[in-house]
Amino acid sequence: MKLLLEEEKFEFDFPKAKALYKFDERDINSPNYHSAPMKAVDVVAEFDRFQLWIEIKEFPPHSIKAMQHTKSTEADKQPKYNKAHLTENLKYKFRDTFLYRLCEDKATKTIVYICLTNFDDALNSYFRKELQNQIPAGQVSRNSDKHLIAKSQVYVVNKEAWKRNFAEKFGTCSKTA
Amino acid sequence: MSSFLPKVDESILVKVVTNFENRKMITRFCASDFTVFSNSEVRFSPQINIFIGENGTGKTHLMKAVYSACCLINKKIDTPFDMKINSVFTPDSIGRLVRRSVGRGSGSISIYRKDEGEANERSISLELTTLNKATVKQKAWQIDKDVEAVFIPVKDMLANAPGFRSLFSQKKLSYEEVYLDVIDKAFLPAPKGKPAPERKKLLDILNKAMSGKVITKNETFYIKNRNGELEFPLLAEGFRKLGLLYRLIQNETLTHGSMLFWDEPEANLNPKLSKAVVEILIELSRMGVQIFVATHDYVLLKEFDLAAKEEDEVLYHALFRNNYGELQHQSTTDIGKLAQNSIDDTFSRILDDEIQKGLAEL
Repeated sequence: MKLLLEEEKFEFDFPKAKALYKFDERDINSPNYHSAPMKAVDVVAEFDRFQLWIEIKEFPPHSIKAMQHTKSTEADKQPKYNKAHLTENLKYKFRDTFLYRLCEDKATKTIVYICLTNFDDALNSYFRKELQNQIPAGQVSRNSDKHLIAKSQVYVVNKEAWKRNFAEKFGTCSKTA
Repeated sequence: MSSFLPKVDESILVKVVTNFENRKMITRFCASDFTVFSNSEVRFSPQINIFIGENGTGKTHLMKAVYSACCLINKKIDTPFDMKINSVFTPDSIGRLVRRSVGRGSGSISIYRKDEGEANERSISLELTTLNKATVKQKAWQIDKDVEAVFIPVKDMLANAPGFRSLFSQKKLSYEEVYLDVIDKAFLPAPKGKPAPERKKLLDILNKAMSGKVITKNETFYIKNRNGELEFPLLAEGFRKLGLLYRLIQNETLTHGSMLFWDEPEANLNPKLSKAVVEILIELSRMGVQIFVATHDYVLLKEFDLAAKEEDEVLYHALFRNNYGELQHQSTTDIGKLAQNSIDDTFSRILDDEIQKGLAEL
């Protein structure tokens, strides 16, 4: 099953997926339309036992440098280049997508949340840890045995790390020209 | 063999070479069957050279060999090159610096430099045999001028300075000579009067990082601040390293035309202090100090990548072994283009291990 994201210039090919679609669909006539006021992840892929939520975050090189700086004037000027902003954005994307899926009765399978970046592996490790701390993982309360997502199923990877780790299990992702 | 070499961006090398013209600097290091090097030629940036590579890929050996040559630039120094190399490397016998192979053999190193405004390279070379025969050749290497070269080793020795020099001179200590050299340099007195503005700027950065300034009494170093004086042995080793840098800047050992070799600046240094260290190294290079750094640290590399401006010539040298175990290197000004980066590779491996642990639960 293939999906081409023209705007993001990414192509996913998941042979074992039962469904693969753009989730953050802004076309009101699309069956996967999710209304604008809430956030949503870019792609959802449904497999037999789990579902992938994929969010693509690519940044120009100067903004990556800004993020790596502890105190960056660039990051101050443009909040989207701020580390905390990115983590919050990813957190809210997860939360809102969860609400959509809950209402669609599709929050039943294990969720695997993958943020696809163009950072290096060291920076992705940092963001993974941050995101794992931001998203309430495990049992949500003492009154319920339900949980949102397991901490171990939150990933922040680049294309190369995807290829090394996910290609065999899920399928491929590649950049289109 | 060339098929194992990562592709090097030639335009980058050309840029560095063309800028050699107006700087006094070490230009290149050539080695043939010397320690771990089978056949290598490494060209340097006039400003900052950063060596990365796994243990045993020759980073420290390269820096020690170049440092030894730099110590002999001044005509007044009559130590032969082979003697200096022997004192700095401290092998059982000098012939053991020849790369190990079956039977008798020989090896050599050559170090080249260009002085300001000169078109031709000067050089010094050493040929060694496994039978301990050493032959030194030089081509206008020595000049009638003081040229300071400093090697900061991994371990701090300033805390052990009292008595170290006298014991060393009596040959009661078997330390590599770099330790004695750096203590000698640290003891040089600071010039009288206020430091020049660019030097004061660097000292202020270190003052802030260490919360004090460095003073000496007899053969002991102290950090002095509003709470009084604290002797070096009571300081964290990371601060002692900054203290050493403070002394070398304060007494103008590190000045235009000098060379600084620093082996693993990150050792015992909290990563938060890396930014200050990198800031100082870049400023020193802008003042005309040629810098050589060997590191295993991602943070230090990133700080260089972030702090250096386009006009700062930071050259990254990756030393690695090919599939036959032969040592090779790649040099580039763009750290992202390093095909062999053991530091990044380690982060990738850790991330992969974390991911695989998570995937196993699916």
